[in-house]
Amino acid sequence: MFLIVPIAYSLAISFTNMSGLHPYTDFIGLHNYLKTLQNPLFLTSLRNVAMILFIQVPVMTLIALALALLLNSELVKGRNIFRPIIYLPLCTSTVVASLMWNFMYGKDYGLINTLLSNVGLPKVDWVTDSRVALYSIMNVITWRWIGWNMVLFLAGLAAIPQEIYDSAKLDAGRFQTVRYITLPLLKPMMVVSIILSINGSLQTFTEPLMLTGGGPGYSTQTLIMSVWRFAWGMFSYGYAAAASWIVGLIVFFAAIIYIRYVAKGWSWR
Amino acid sequence: MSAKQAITQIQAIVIAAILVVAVGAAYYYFTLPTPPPEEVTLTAWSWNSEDINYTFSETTFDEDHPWIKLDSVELGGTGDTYSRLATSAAAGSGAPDIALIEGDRLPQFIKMGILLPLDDFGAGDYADEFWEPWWNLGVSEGQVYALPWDMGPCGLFYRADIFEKYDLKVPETWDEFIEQGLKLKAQNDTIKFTSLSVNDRGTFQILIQQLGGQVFERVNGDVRCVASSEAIQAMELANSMAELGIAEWENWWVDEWYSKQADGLIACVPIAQWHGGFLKEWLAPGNVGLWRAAPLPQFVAGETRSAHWGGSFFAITTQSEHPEEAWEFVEFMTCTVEGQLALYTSSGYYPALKAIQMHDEVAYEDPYYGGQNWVAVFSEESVPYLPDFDFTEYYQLMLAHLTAAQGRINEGTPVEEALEEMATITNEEIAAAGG
Repeated sequence: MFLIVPIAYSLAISFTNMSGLHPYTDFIGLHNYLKTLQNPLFLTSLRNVAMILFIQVPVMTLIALALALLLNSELVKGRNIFRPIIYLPLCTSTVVASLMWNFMYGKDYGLINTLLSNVGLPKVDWVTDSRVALYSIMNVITWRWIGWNMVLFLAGLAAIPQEIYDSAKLDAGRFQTVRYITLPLLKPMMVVSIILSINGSLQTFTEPLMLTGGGPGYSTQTLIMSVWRFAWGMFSYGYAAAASWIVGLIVFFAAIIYIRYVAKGWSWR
Repeated sequence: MSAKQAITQIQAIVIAAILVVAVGAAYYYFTLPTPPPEEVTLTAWSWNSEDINYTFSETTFDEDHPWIKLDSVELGGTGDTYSRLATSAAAGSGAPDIALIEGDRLPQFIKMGILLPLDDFGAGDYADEFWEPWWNLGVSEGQVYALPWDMGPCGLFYRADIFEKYDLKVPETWDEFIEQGLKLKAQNDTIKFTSLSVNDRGTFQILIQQLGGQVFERVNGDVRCVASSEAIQAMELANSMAELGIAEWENWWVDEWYSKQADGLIACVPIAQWHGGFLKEWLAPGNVGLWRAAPLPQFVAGETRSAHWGGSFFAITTQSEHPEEAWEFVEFMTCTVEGQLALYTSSGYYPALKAIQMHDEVAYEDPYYGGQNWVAVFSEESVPYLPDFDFTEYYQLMLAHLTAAQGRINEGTPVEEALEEMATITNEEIAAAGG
């Protein structure tokens, strides 16, 4: 009831010109959908989240995997201390984390630029340079979610039967064990991690809102920020509903494409 | 006595008795004590719930209106207040009795139909108590929808210690502003003469208002965003400050910007009066005696053109079940000296009521400002010269694209191209919004 009714209502108004700025609501067919797909701001948002998807997700996944392998190894002392430390950022609210990074990214007073200038390097406009701002956002997302993905991989590693490793020791070195046994057996968990990351990256909202407001220019505007603007900046509820359905379909098909064509056949049984 | 005479006498006695009873009943009825009004709780939404509560409880309003209670709700920031109000308008329920709305957002909510016209309460009688350009923001098609609470007249806040150290003159024109900026730059490249906002309307809104320009035009009832000649001139002046190195395009309303002002890395800021309260209360409380206020520089020497930024109104929503009581409180807060003084005492926001803008409790020699009567600078040099500025219901929509344009200008896009793109995208969204 609480799920179906809002979804159905959202779909229904997406075919209308429902707006807070005029009292009439008329059926306009696919007009909102077509307008959204032609909206340069929406298309820029799509490009931005595509960059997050194809850059931030793989980088975060690789780092999380490396950390999981490292912290699963008996060679590393103090693993039980490092694991919660790496997971800690996820326990911070997104707003607080973003505000903290906003301070760190400050051009004149920020920690990062202070360290850079102390070693003779130039300061960087982390959030006011359009060439850099999106990467600054990606960094914050990676910092916050790397622990979560690491935990997923650690769970996957814990599920691999020890007998397989015992058998592998007979004629495989450490690297070969990871390459031919650990990684293939970890693939199902990788699928889960990447699908969740795809879902998360396509719905990025809080970090760019807090750090850059979607700027400079539109360089950090994301899909959900566009939907939010259509609803609460333009008060065009029908238009926003159509945009949200397009975003939902993008997320759905992105996951489907990944499962069917990229992660196809991944199973260790 | 005959029977006829007896009947006549009896009739006379009966009529007299009826008259006595009637007069006695009427006397009794009209001298009965009036039963107290039913208790009413008013809900008010704002981002200043403390100030509204203060005005309610620390003035005579509470004593004089014991049947009126107040539930002043703080919804977070302005954005949260407006989102909730818009949702209530769309849903047809859930709106408060009273809402605080900024002047540049009023046209949007008037168009939504969520604000109750106040003319029946006699709101129009107060028009002369406020400065016309500000009062007019609460009026639409001849009807009053909201009463002004506070204002944001603009001026120049500057660091007197920096000006003195580097022998800088308080600029009276924008040309002098540039000259003084270059003079400071020649002596100290670390301190910027001023700051340009890349994420807010900032200097642009001040300059375009001083030029008498607009960002919207109305053609046959349609509203269109335009890159007017005044808009281009305003933005080119702002950008020239960055190009000359006397200012930086940077994010405002972040810790770094606050710290730079407190630490003397920004020498002056053209901004609204409310910034004076911010400096004093939380932005740079340790800068006692260092800051001063001055009138805005002018485009033409000798002119007295001003600008406004921010400031808010109280409105009663159409969903209020107690509009009369809501009116009593709104009228008190906005149209009485006591109500407006309470506002100033609690918040430091510049009161909209003309009568108290030079009141001893508002405009006085302030030790934080080195003994300067800084509020008087705004009361005398800014408020009387405010321009009419047509925000329209699409100003907020335009602002997002204005900040994007500022970001692009910062990275080298020509001003006219950036503003033309801003206008184009805004108009596309106006069309999509059904405008």
